[in-house]
Amino acid sequence: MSGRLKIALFFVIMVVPGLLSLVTTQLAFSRASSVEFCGSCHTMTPWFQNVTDPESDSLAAEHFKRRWIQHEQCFTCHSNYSFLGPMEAKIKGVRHVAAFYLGFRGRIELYDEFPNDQCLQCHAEAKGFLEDSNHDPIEDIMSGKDRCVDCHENLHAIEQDDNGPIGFAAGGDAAGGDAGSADDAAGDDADPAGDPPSGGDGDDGDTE
Amino acid sequence: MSWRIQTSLALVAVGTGFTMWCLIKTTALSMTAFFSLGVPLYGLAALVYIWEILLDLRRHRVL
Repeated sequence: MSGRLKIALFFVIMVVPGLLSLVTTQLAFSRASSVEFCGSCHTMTPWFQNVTDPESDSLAAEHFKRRWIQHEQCFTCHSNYSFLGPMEAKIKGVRHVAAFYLGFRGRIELYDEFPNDQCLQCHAEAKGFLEDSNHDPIEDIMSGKDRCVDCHENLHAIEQDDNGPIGFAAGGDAAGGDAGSADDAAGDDADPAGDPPSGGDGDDGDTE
Repeated sequence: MSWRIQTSLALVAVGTGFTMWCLIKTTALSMTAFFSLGVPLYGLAALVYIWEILLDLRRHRVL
């Protein structure tokens, strides 16, 4: 083998695949944060439809249609804000795809209780949140002793079938329940102050 | 060209197929294929190529 051929082979087998992998990983990770990407998985169809449904009054749909979260709405609430949070979310996503193709059946549930930190990333400094008397004592919310979703319950208006294919709604557009909680409650009714489900100020376009 | 080089090139070709599919589609399935098949195929190609390099160095009594 000539020296020139060896160099060419080194580039073709080592350098080009390495660079291609880096670029693809970066692009795939950035594109995978979009709501459309989450909706591209058939298992997520009920959640995607609920979030993007302008008629839905679920907490997720309110955040989407009022643009309280501007972009990447699924990813913003469902990925950990730590340094490796996005990476953890992607690894879990790959596990979910494997579970689907291996024929897992049952309910989709969150790994852990939905943490207050996810809400407080936006709401913690919001005037409407801080001044709302329903949030007293606010230290309990900040510390996680009182959970946001205990009062703001209607996260996703999804009803799941315990024995059906994962994620597919059992039928109807039933309110109540979510990926992490089987409770049923109507979002606005659950808020004693009559505030919008975010617990925030409630104005359209208010991004806190 | 040895069978090791040919195998490496074939693995790179298949891995690039998965990578391109992932780049174009960016669906959950194509991303899974890229990370679970494309990247390992690239890794395997690199290992086989390194094997060939080591044999070549030994042939020339460098190792």
